[in-house]
Parts: sequence; structure tokens; C-alpha cells
Amino acid sequence: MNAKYVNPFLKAVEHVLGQFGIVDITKKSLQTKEDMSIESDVTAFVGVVGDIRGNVAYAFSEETAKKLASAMMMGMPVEALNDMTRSALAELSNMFTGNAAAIFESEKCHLDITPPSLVVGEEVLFVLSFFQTLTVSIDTAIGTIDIHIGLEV
Amino acid sequence: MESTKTLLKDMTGIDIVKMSVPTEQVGEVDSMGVCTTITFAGKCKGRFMIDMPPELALAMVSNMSGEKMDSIKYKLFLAGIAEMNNIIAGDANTVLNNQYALGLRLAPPIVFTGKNMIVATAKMDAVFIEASTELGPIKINIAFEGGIEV
Amino acid sequence: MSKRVLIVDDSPMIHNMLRKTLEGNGYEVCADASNGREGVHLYEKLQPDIVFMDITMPIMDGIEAVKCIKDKYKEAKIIMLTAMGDEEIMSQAEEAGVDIFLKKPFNDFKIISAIANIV
Repeated sequence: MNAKYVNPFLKAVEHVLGQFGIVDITKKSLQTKEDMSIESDVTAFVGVVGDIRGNVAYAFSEETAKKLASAMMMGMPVEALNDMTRSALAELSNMFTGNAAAIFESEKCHLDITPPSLVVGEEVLFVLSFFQTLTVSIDTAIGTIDIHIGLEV
Repeated sequence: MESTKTLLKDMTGIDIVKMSVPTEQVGEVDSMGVCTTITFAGKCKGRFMIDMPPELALAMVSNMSGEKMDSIKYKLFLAGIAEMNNIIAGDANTVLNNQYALGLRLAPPIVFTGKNMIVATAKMDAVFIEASTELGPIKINIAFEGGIEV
Repeated sequence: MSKRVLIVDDSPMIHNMLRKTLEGNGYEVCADASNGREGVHLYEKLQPDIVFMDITMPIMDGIEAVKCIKDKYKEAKIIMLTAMGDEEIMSQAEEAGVDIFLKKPFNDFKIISAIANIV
């Protein structure tokens, strides 16, 4: 997969996080994996269909998840993840991907996004794609977010 | 639903003993250990999800591939679960597209395994059907954005 | 000599299952490809007697791959084997020149009778 597919997702995440007051975002690393498995506390994912088909997942630690949820709810403290915060984080992955799709659209690539889901649990092994994927890690003030991109291109 | 039952039997040789009526799923889903989802978009959007305990999942894929599987972390096992979902969702989708012209397109299958997993969504209503087999329960959960009529 | 078959499908599970069915019935699987482009490439290199082709695959989908193969090799025998089978897709497959359209799941009988129909 070409790295040009990464930028729209990066821009989208940066833009959406900025709206919740999370700035100072730095790209940490970019790596390619032959097939993608993710092991992390919290993983939110969204599918894409249209000119490109695939899945995108956003993974973070529980700590970061709580801070993200808190930022989304105007800074309301989040002690533990509950159904409301989980739903909010699923919605966040929807916003990330929706924004990325808008960027792709402006580059004449039409994408429809599918409904978001979020998975939490213990010893979770998550397979997003059986095809090659790209993972971008970004550092933010509230912790690391891994963006896993599994597009069939 | 009927298609799911026949397909499962054809593919995995596992009989569904009993099937519940479609029941409304409120809120999140507690996974039994092995879960696979296929999301779709077109004139409407949604998610098709199959959830089951590891023992049943291993038995299904072993039967399907003719190869004994004993680890849920084995790549071929995960690929088998994904392909099984692909076939079932693909079939259901064919019916929906032909009958209601929804123009649905499927995203690739996702598989995840783990303990005490919770699967959440944003703003989707779902129905689920629980079926029992001799090796444990299997839950099929279908969600559409904007809800569905049971 | 036994007929040589090329399998093009992105699922390793399908490779295994089809291989078992085919080899159990006296066919030789000459290669597995996991996307359309690899499939076209292997067709040119190996010139198999029969191709089993999935549709939804990364890099190049099955419809595109069938077009590429049939453009150059009119005599190619291609069986589409896929989970998706709505009318739109079936007509695209027909236009591309697919010889037989099969829906997953499959069993030995379905596979063997499809082959018998085209060779």
C-alpha cells in the first residue's frame, strides 16, 4: 500500500482532535505489516467501501481512551470507561474516518464509510486485515494513538 | 436467517439445534470470545456480527478446512472465521441487494478474540438471534443505522 | 495428464479447501494467487486449463482479472467462485467473460460438476 493513503487519515485525526482542544500532535513512526493484528486496550474501527475497500482502526491505551472521552465531553472527568464513553469513542472513530473520506473525495476518490464499532477486553487479538497494512503512531498530549490502515490497494 | 442456518450446516457440518426468535439488542454486546464483523454501506449502513465461544469456533473451522485447529491465535483459524463470515454476509447481502436494491457493499471481515470483550457502537440499533449447537451457542447480531423492524 | 488448475482467492482458507477438493478428484493445483494481479501474472506464466477466481480481492479484483486474461486468451476457462452474487455483479462477471458463476459455500459436487461443464 502506498504511503499517500496515510496522509488523509493523519490530517483528519489532527483536525478532529484539534476541535477537542488536543493539539501538539507529532508523528512518531510509520510501519508496514504483512497482516494486521493489533493488541491494545481499546480499538475502534470503521470500514470503507467505494473506490477503495478496507478497514481502519484507531487503537489506544485505556488511559488515553479516558482522556479522549473526557476531551470530547468538554473536559468532564472520566474515571472509567462505561457504555456512554465507549459509544463516544466509537463516534470519534467515525469522525476521524468521515473527515478522511472528505479529503479523499476532494482528490476524486469516492469512499463511503460504514458504522463504527469499538472493542475493549483482555488479551484481545484483533485482526483488521489479512492483507498488508500501514500503522502510524502519533504522540499527543494525552498519549499515543495508533492509526492502523488496512486498505485493499 | 434461514440462509445462515443452511450455510453453517453446509460449511461446518455443525447442526443448529435451536434458534431463538429475533430479539432486540439494546446497548453493547458482551462477546463470548471469538467475534467477527463485516460492516457495509450503500443506501443504508450497518454491521453483521457473529459471536461464539472459542470451542465452537475451533470446531467449525476445523470441520471446514479438514485440518484440526487448537489455537485461536493461529492465522489460518482467524482467516477461516473471516471467510465463514464473508460467505454468510455475502449471501445475505445478495438477497438484500436483489430484493430491495440497496446497493450494499461489504467492507472486509474483521476478527477479534479475547476475554471479557465488550463491543460497542455509536447510535445503532440491532437485533440478535441466538442459536444453540451441540458445541455451544452462536449469536448473530445484525445492526442497521437508524434501526430495523423486528 | 491431469488438468491443471489455478486458484485465485484472497483467503488462505479457500486455497486449502479448494486444493483438497480438486486434488481429491484427480486435478492438479498448479498455483494459488491471492489477488487479481498475481492471478493474471500466474495465468500467463503457467497457462493452466482452469481458473477459479474470487471477486473481492485486494490490488485487482476478480472481474478486472478475468477481463485481462480473456482479452489475451479467449480460450481461458474461468469459474467465478464468490460470496457476493447480486444481479449487478453477475452481469459484470458475464460481460467480463466468466464461463461459470458459482456461489460460496461450495462442496465437491458443485466444483466437480462445474469443471465437467466447461472442459
